[in-house]
Amino acid sequence: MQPAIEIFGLSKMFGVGDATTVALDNLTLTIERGEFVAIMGPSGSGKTTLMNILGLLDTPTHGEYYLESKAVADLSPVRRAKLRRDHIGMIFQNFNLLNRTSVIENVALPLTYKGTGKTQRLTAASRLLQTFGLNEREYYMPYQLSGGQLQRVAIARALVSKPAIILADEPTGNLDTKSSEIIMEELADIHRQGNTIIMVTHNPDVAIYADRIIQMIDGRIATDSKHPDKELDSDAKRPLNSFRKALEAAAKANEQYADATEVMTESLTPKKARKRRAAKTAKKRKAKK
Amino acid sequence: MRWLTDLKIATTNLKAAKTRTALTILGIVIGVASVTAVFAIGEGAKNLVRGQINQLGDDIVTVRPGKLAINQANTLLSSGVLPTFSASTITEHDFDTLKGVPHVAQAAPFMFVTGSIAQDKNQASGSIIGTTPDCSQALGLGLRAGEFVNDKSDRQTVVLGHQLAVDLLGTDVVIGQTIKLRGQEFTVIGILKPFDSSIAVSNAVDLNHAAFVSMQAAKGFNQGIAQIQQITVKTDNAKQTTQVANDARNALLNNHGGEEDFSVLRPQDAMQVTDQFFRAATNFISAVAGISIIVGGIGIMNIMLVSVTERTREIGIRKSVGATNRQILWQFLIEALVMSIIGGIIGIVAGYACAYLVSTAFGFLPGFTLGIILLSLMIGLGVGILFGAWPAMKAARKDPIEALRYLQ
Repeated sequence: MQPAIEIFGLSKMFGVGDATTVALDNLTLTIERGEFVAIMGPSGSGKTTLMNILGLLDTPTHGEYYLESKAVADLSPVRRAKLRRDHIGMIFQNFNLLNRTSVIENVALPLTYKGTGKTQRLTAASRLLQTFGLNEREYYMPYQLSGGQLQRVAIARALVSKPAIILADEPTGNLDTKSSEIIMEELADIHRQGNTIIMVTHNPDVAIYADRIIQMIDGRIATDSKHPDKELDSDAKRPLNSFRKALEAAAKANEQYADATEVMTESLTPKKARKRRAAKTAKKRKAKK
Repeated sequence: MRWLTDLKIATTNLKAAKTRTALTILGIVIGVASVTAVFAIGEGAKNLVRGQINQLGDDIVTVRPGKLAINQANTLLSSGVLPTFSASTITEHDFDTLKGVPHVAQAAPFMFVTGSIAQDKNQASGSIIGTTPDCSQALGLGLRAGEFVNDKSDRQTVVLGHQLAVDLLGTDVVIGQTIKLRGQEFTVIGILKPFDSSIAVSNAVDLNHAAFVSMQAAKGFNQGIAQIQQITVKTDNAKQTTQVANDARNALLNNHGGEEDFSVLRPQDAMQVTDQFFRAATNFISAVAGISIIVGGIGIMNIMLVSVTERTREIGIRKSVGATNRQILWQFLIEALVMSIIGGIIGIVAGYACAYLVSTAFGFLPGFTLGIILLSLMIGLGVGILFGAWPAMKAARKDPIEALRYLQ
């Protein structure tokens, strides 16, 4: 089976000359179909940049990107928009729904841009909303829904064009624990139905739903742990112990990295130091919570 | 059906900001209305002039003193100065000559006499015109009662225009009454039918307010000297009008020793001055109307730019689910077009209402043609495209990542 995503030597640089920041540093990664990948890492480690490139919202500076074995790194904006529409579903931390548009029209939006007829696209949207238990709220406006409901609407929108991959950028970042659990169960369900999901998260409790965890540091992959027994195991509600160990190891590595940076701070350029310090305080704030 | 969806998105967005949309549409309404009104009034005026040529018939040749320079750009004010300030160059001899030109059916002189028209203490404003009996036929003047001027009569007689009779005597049944022209007593022997006054025939004098007397009587006011301001020549065949005009000119040139100090005008020549006046007026007002439509367009652009900035995040969301740049461009362009079409339609209606008010005040109807409506609509649409394009392009070019990061 061909992999869903392959990237080779992918780099992304921002700025020019001395001000150049390396967001992604020579990244090589293969994600098979049907995988549920969690990407973790401190702020500034390049997770979001990677998601933007995988979601074809951004282009890499160097490197190759194959989406379903098709080279997509250097496509024209129109082609990328169409691939985004037909092959990629995106879920965001802040939902990103259209406020002045009803729930059902929001879900049908990708089909609207595809040119699907009104009846057809509303039927498809309605069917999806039903599976998320939102069929009674089809004609509600987004501001009439709770955060958890909004994220389910967003997931329905991501699924409506039957995409090859689903990219979720901190899908539970704005939700309380209970809603987070519901959303993650939904994503796990979607995964069990055979969808490929790539998720960025800070939260280890959320990451345990994934069957592969990639730890990123400084634009590179630090650890990549895959659970051997969990391959498309549709009965598994919770990850097995050995996988949890790998997860904890990743979290530990993350902390060690943060400690190490504190020592290194003086020798770094002011800009980099500031960035690292910001990453560290963010981490501490999270720990307090 | 894609455009239908775009249209729905556009109308939804416009409805969401009602006041702003209404104000923008108002800008377009004012612009299109002023353009429509100017075109409609201009067209109406043109119809008026054309109607007068038709009503007058194309068999009339008018001779006036003074050289009327036609076909020059600055003729508007250069005509008519000579006949106003100096004695007329046309004599009774010229009148007799014209009667002898081939294909001339009738010829009628106009001798304008300034003076009061009164009965007892009542005064009325009007012109005293000396002419010959042929005049009623040459101009097609109908009589409501009585008879036309008769130069054989030794009595001092007058024929009144319909409105003058009513103004002066309070009724149009006035045959046999006596009125005073320049203090001399005249007996009313005829009343004219209401006459749709024509500029070409009457030399800008309203015949409904005219008092016609015989040439003899008119000369009596002027120490026995004829002062002819206009001779109206009716040809016996409309096809001969140009021929008659040329013959008349040659005959008069002969009389005047080769000096062309008169004008021989066919109906279309006579109309030219009027026509030119209306055209110049229309051009001037069109420029003003053009400015107002540009202001309306800038209003649209302003609103669209604000709208694009305000909806940056929306643009980001749309792009993230796969909207192409072109689809975003169309969404915003259609919004601009919807506003300009609505504004255009309202503007055309308002413009016609305005044109109707203005032109009826001047005594004619505005011209109502499909061309004007289409043109106004096209101008409205053009403004929408022209001033909506840049904001729409700005929206389409937004970077999706930046747009998604934009805080609402």
